[in-house]
Amino acid sequence: MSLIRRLQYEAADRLAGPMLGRYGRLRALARRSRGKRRAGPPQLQSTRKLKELLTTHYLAGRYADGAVPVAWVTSGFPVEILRPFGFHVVYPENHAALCAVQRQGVQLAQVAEQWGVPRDTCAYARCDIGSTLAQMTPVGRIPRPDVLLACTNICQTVVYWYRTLASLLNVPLFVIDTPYQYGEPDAHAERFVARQIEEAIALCARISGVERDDGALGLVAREAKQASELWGECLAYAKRKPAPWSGFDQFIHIGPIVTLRGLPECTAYYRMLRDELSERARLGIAVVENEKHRLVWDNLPVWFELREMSQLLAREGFNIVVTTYTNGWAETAPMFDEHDPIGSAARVYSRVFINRGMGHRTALLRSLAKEWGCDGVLLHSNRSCKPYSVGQLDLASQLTRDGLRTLVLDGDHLDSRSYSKEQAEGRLSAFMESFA
Amino acid sequence: MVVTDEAIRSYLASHRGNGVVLALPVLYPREVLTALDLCGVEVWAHRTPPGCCTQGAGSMQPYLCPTVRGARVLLGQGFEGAIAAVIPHTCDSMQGLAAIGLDMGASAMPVVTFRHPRGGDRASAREFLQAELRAFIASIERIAGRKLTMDRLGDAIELHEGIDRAMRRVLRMRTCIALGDVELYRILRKREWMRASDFAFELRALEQMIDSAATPRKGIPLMVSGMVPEPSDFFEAVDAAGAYVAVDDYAAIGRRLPMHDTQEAEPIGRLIDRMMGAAPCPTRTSDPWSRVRYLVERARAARAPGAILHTVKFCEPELFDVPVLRRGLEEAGLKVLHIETEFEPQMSGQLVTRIEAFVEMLGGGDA
Repeated sequence: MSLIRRLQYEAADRLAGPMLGRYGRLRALARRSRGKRRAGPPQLQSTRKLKELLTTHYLAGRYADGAVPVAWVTSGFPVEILRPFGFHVVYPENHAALCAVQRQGVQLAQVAEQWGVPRDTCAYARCDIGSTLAQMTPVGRIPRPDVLLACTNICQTVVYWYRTLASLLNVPLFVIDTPYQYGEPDAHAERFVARQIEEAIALCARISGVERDDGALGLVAREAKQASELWGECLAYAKRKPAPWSGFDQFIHIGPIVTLRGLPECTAYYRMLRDELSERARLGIAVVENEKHRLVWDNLPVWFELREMSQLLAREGFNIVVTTYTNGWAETAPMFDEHDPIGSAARVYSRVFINRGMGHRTALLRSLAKEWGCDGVLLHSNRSCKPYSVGQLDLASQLTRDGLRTLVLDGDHLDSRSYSKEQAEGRLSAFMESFA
Repeated sequence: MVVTDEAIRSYLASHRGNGVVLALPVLYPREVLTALDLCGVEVWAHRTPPGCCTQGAGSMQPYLCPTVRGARVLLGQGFEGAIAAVIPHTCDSMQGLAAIGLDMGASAMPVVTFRHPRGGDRASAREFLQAELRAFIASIERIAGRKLTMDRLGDAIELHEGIDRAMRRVLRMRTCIALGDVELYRILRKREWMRASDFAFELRALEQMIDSAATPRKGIPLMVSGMVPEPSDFFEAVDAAGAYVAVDDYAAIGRRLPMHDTQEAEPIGRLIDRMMGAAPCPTRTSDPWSRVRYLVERARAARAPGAILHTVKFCEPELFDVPVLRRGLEEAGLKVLHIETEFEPQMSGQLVTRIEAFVEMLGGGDA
């Protein structure tokens, strides 16, 4: 690791990133003083801090390789084990979502398709493979990894995706397999996961040249638990009627809990967001004026349509107040245990809802609908994400029998070619009319 | 269609042993079924009743593979009084199907799952597989109402090892058997629904047809890699174009065979060796480059100048391997054609033309 590179990395992380964030804040203030205020409720103040955090993360990332060890990991990987070794962590899924929001996802996916990846595969994977092939990214530069780390708790697809990346980048790949839990969690599967986490820790120690420190692992587990619980508290504020924020806001503010989990700045961020939401709730600020109906969202969002979809729903007084996706990072939080960082990580990461059977998912949706006071469920049938989408038609039937209104909406989390805007808006409008 | 439902029903009428078990692709411990004298009938999309895939679409999204859509209907309707359905964790869609079968009342029979370790052949993976096999055996025993002894399991493994050896020989010597590809696959695919002892008998007859002094088969030798040798007119098109299948890497056929005999004595250990030692396959998340090396070696041994990658629509495990396989095989000097089918009864004229053009490029055909 080079000293100059390390200085550049630290400067980006500690100085340039926060300065850029502050500059963004000043620009926003200037816009406001010029009277350019967007319609609707005031934007969450925390959003600026969020931008600062993520800008800093991606800016520092430009200088990370050669300065600190770099790992690319899946969103469900037990990232806490990397923190004591000083890894800079890149999340290709988060990057793909960012590309989708900026409407660059399809262009990058097409690079992968030209290279030979068929279109009937996950669009996140195609986007990231395309980005790697073309060396193109909206964040300037992604650092080259020293290791790729994948965990199968979100899908089997990540193994294919990361194997392709490993082959392109010529770096090692380590997979933590979290066997799917059809019924109640089974001990032999979680023992297997714990053993693999131990193996992954040994690999990280080898790559970073830093010795394993169980005390540090415990502290990171504590930090991750705090942040996840704070995230859960933030989500819970949407139980208030009217809700001070929406599922669409949650899709945006999920960033740090995915990418910075286990770091103090992540915990601090969610404390700030929680306090702001508490204040909003106290003042009765509603994210949707005249909130009439509250909905649950199932599956990843249609990233490239967030604003349009939220506006369409809000116009009719509909608010998505909770989503299974954002709840995923809060659901298993209480299981983190600083005194048993490995065993508890095995439980936390094996039991994420998407790695659980349909019985668990049905119960989860019922409980979210009940606790958040929802009268309808939108199930995004996501062409890119089979593990999330298979079974949704059965789920919809079940929830309809329970008395909830449901709509299965065809789409894709990234690939706008697999999404018909007119058809989706028509179906959403008809769905909303059915509440009259 | 290579095998009809009627052929299976007529076989099962007198050979069902202690019961029929539906089995979904690809790799599951069939030795355990044999040891309990259960007849495993594999479910590939072609084996589902007509219209199943369309019916399945009513409760499964259309962007799922036809095997999963068709199997969904069979799970609900049942098949020949099957007492259970075995669903291995082949892919995310199959996992979802098992979850629906278990928890959403979508299955007319008990569902038994089987999970492969997906992180490579490590000590921890073998330990997990051992526990998974024991759990699988316990579930099947419960459903069948009989206990499995290790002696019987050992005998069943031995029977399957013999079948695997014979199948490897038949596939290696296939050009010395006076049978076309359609007929050869018709016989080999009986393993998908016959009891092992009956299939071993069929295989012996096939082995006796090997004539090493026979005139080498005319045409261009090809390697074919894919999920299942369907539709049968694919082979007719290959034959008509002036080529033949010399190397098989179908997940339903050659790819399930262990590459080496196991030295392990204890039955569970032997099962683990057999599963871990099967040819590289993306449904068990094998590294695609190890798959390339394996295929190149086999293509070279058979002097095949070209390979056809024959994928099934929406089969994500196979589709992700396509770019690496294409590159790896082309770097090794093989020409590659990628085609996609969807268990349709007949191939499109466009696909036939592509096969003809490919074989012509390799130097075969009428031109």
